[in-house]
Amino acid sequence: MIDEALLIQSLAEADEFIRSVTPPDKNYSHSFSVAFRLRMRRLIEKDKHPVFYQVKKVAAAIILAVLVCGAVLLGTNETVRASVWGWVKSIYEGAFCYRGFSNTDLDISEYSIADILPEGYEEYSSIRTADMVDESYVNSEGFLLTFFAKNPHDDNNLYVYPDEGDVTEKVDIGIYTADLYINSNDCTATIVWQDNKGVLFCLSGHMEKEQIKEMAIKIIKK
Amino acid sequence: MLLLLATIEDEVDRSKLETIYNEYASTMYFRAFSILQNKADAEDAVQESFIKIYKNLDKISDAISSRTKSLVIIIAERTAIDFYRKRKKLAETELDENIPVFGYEGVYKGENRVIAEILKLSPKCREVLLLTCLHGYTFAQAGNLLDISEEAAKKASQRGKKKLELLCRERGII
Repeated sequence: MIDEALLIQSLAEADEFIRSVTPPDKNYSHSFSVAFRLRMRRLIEKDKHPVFYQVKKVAAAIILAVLVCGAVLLGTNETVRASVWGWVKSIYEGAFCYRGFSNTDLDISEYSIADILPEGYEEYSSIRTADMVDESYVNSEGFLLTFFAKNPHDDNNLYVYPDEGDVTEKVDIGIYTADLYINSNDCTATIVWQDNKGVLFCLSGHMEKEQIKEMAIKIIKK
Repeated sequence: MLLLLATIEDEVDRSKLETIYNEYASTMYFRAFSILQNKADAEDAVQESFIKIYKNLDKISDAISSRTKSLVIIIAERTAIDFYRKRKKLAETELDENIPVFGYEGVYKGENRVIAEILKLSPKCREVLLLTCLHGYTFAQAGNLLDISEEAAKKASQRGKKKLELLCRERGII
């Protein structure tokens, strides 16, 4: 066998050589595509934030946004905004970012969609605390239906990454206006709104526009 | 759709992964492209490489160091070769022997003859030897980084050492 010391010494020099020629030009810089940068941003965000909310990838597209109750007032006046609970939307590196501001100790653990589920869905997972509800249901075809509600907190962000084929529109659901995101490629829909207590709601699944609106209205009525 | 509810961090406080991305993404792309010769495939390989890095972040102590650069080059190379193999649907052994662009042997112009022989080894053998003998990773860790089994890493190491000895003897180096 080759002498171990010689092997390690030679490997170190070979390694140094490889690093020096990869790339040969010290100023080499590749301009990555937008799609690549967006995908990497997702990965980096996933690593960067110690996520207490599980990352969900519903089988295809859609995006979401949020309705901020009293959006005009909150969006234009920092002082007024600071005195109210809620979420503010911004765009960050290709994703929609909803930042919670102010804190509330409102107990929202009672929120659930268990009793208004479409036929055939069964519970997949459920996380319930005083300030957050995260429920997932699955049907026999493997389609996920997810629901979450979250109190605003100063240290919370909700990131929403759009996919190709997403179409957005504002819709009325009861007394609130919501942002609805539809992807016709895979028949998925997501709806997001905020209620008058600052609680953010998000419902997402494999369903039609009217069906998801109907579910959102039922949640509001509850 | 991807939903992520997360705590806010200081925006200046870049994560380890982000630092590695900023520092070495182009380097990784360069290596992947030299193998795949296709921009889209090379970007896909780099992305896949970062997923591997993300899963093995605990094995990287300093985001910016020669050791980390070496590691990311190795991961990008291995991922690109796997992509290439899938693309061509060929056995890796055939590729290792027949595709010189996978190695560095034609590039090295130095006088150290052992280095020249190391650069002639198959990429997998070279990668495993660098990770285990030089950078101190265990075979299991090297296997994780290269997406191969621990046993395959051990075999690649043994094969690499044998081949290197043979090459060195043939050239009268040892």
